[in-house]
Amino acid sequence: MRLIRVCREGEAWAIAAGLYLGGARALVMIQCTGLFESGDALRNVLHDWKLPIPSFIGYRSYLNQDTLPGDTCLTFTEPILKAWQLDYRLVKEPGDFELMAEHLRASLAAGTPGVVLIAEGKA
Amino acid sequence: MTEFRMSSVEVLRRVRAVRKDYDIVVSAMGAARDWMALGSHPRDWVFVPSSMGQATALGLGLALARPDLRVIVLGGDGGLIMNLGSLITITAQQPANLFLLILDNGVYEVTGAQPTPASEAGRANAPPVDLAGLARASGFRAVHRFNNLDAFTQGLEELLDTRGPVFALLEVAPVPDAPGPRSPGPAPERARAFMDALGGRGQ
Repeated sequence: MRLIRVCREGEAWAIAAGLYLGGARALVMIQCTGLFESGDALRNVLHDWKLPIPSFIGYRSYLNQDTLPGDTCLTFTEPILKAWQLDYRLVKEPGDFELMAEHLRASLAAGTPGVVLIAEGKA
Repeated sequence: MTEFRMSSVEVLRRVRAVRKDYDIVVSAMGAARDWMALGSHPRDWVFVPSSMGQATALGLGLALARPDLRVIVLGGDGGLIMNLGSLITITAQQPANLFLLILDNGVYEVTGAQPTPASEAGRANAPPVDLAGLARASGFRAVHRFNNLDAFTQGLEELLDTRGPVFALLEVAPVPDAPGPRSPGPAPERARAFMDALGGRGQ
């Protein structure tokens, strides 16, 4: 496994696209704030080109809002995933890992871009 | 003082003349339009439709997945400044097989030739941004700047034989009233054909 650090999340989708086209397996790992930032890039990769790139997206403040009371990530994350027509599963506790694995397996088998939304406790 | 700038079509004609059959060529925006006009190749990734600024990032992914092939990215200055961070992302990985050829015309050509904020015309009493200098500071192994077609023609093959990542800024003239690039066909089918041409499929 090789980690490629990016300067902004939009890059991650395009790099993953290049990796996939070149025959590698790619996984995008970003936070929901990066999801907000990278809309056009994911639109192009996942919808224009229909490349089935899976992703893990951290759901900031889902478990508590101790650091950022009233964090608007809670307001916008899931509506934006739905607006981008992304099939996601929310993982809230370790017992949900099988749900995550099952969703990724099913997405890979279907050739669709599965998203795992991972609840975070701190900003 | 009149600034001399090369013809983008002539620049791309030179690239096509030295491009090897195994090379991957990624083209975007105005460069894609002019590259397509010169012909096609199974290992051309004509990045239309695109997300503007992402051609360098996509080229990085290809270069890392296929270190056995050269990946040549033909982009523009507008796309580059939309994603300057990609210069740093690229040099963090140091792909020896990645070559960025940036056609710098100083304008957003496909939307009506508005000056970019990096160009002299787009700045208020400030010099143009040194894009080659940014690439150098980001850590590219080799950085070139060309505004003369003869010099570019003479230096191109050597440039492409250099260990990458390599960055070349090519000062070209904008094309007045240039149309935007048109997709040569349905994107998903083109993606599959491109993967077949590379001999492998993503998993």
